[in-house]
Amino acid sequence: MQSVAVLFVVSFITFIIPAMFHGTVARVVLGPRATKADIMEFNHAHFFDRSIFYQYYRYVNDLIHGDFGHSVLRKTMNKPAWEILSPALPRTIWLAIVPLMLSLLIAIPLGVTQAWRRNKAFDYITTFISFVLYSTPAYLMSILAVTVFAINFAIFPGLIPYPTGSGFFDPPVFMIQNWTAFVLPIGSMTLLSLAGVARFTRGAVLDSIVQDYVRTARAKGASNWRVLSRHVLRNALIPLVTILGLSLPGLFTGALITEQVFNYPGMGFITVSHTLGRDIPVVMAATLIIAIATVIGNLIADLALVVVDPRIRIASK
Amino acid sequence: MLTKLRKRNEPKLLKTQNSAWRIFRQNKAAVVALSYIIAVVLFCYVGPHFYHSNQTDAFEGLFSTNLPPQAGFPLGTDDQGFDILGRIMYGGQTSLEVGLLAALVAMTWGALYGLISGYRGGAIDAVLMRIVDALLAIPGLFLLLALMAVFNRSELLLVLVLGGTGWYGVARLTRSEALALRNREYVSAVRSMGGSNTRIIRRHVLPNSVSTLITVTTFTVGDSILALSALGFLQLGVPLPKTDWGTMLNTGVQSIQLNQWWQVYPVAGIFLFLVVSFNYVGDALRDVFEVRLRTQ
Repeated sequence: MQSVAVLFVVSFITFIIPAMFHGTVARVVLGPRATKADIMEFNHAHFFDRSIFYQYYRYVNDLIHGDFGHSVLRKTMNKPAWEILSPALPRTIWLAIVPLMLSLLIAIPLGVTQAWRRNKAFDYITTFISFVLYSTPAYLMSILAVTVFAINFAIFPGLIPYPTGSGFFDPPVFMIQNWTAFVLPIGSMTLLSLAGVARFTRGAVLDSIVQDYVRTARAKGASNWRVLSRHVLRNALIPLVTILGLSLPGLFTGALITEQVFNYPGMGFITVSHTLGRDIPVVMAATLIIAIATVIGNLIADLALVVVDPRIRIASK
Repeated sequence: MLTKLRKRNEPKLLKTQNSAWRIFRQNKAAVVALSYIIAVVLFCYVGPHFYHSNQTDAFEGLFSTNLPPQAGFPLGTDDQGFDILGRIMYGGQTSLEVGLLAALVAMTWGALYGLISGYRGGAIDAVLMRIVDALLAIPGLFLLLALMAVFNRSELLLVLVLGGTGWYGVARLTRSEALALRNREYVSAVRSMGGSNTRIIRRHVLPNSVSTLITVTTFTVGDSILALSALGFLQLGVPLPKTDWGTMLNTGVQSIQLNQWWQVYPVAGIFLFLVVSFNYVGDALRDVFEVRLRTQ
């Protein structure tokens, strides 16, 4: 229910920004030499001169029928925004998910080790590194990766070849086929989200290591490994699921930059190129679609929480 | 009598102020970070008075593009023939100004929003916070791009857009602060004496949230500089002949295939450590204020 409300607000934002400045749309389509009469006619034809409520009603109505608006860029004039964006969406989703999973695989053991050997040299060094990684902007990371590994040492290619296929499961196949091209983008994105997860795991494990049930388990003679895996981790990682859901917007932002650097036509790459061409309807549609993806991701995280944490049950009425 | 009283109180007051500084000083990393921030500010604003370089005349640079570091150009030149050392100073001015102003916009708006939401509570609070939740669901850069597509680029727009997308954290923190403060005894006391809501907020709730605000603003300055550089990197930064660090990095990346490292590393280094520094100082401030809360 809440996610519906969120989507409602988001759709209002993506609607109101261009609606307040409808002169801009006309200018982009008709060019700088259009007369006032031309612009008025254009605005009338596209309902820009009607009341804002009517426009919003039309906008939501179109959205419900799967119409995200049409491009106003000369190259893709009148092409539905969904047609432009739909092949890009799975690429971006996979580009966000794969590094997320990889960073989990690395960061959870790392965070646990940090907490286990807290305040030792290993902890200090990895903490400092993760602090630097945490403040590194995504583009700087990608640039450095390209500079060092694609140009100075020329180990991996610095660009991704143009992807084939537009189905939801095509991108992972493409990634495996061209894995050398994906080492750098996925590697740099993994490093970026790794820092946050490791930091969080360290804190959560430190919190639960001092709990009574851990002491009880120890007293019963459980081995270090058993205490860690059965008692500490299981409790420490429950909040992580929520954090992962919340980190989705950041991941999509990171994907946007990575796509830009590596020339991968995902949502971010297309949004940027259409922003530079002032293709407002497509940019708004992209924002909305990404927001929908985020909301769905959060929903999945909430559902996963029910699986992970036996204390939470879905309220049956 | 009054002066006597005040005098007796004075050393005590000074002591508490000192202790905040003392706690901050104990955090060596934060002191280094703060000195670095001050050094960068001096470098960007005082530097150009000592180091003169061409930063406006594109024609003059026509014959000296992409030069490696050499006498006359300590850090080389960029693709427009502008001297990079001077360019870092001028770009830094823009980055710092836009970052700081955007953080101020975010702080003012976020604090106002959070205060109203937290102090009022109830239905208003629920609606206002759902709006923030919705905004948080939009990845920041996509919203920035959407705004940049609609408006004409200028420095003022960048300040407003970055401020307008950076206030969610401030609003949430201020809200929780106001929510906790509004049920304190002294607030009830003021109310029982007939103090208006405005007075309570202005004289009691706001001063008590100042420490939170300062801390979160420090982080916001760093975040704004980061977001501005990301925009600059996507060719949506400050228009020519002005520049900012993100725009410089973008030009630098395009020339890095030619192994022109001087266009990337100096600006990337100075910039990365500045953002890290803001994070360290913010961390230290959080410690300082928390400790003060605990001893109170």
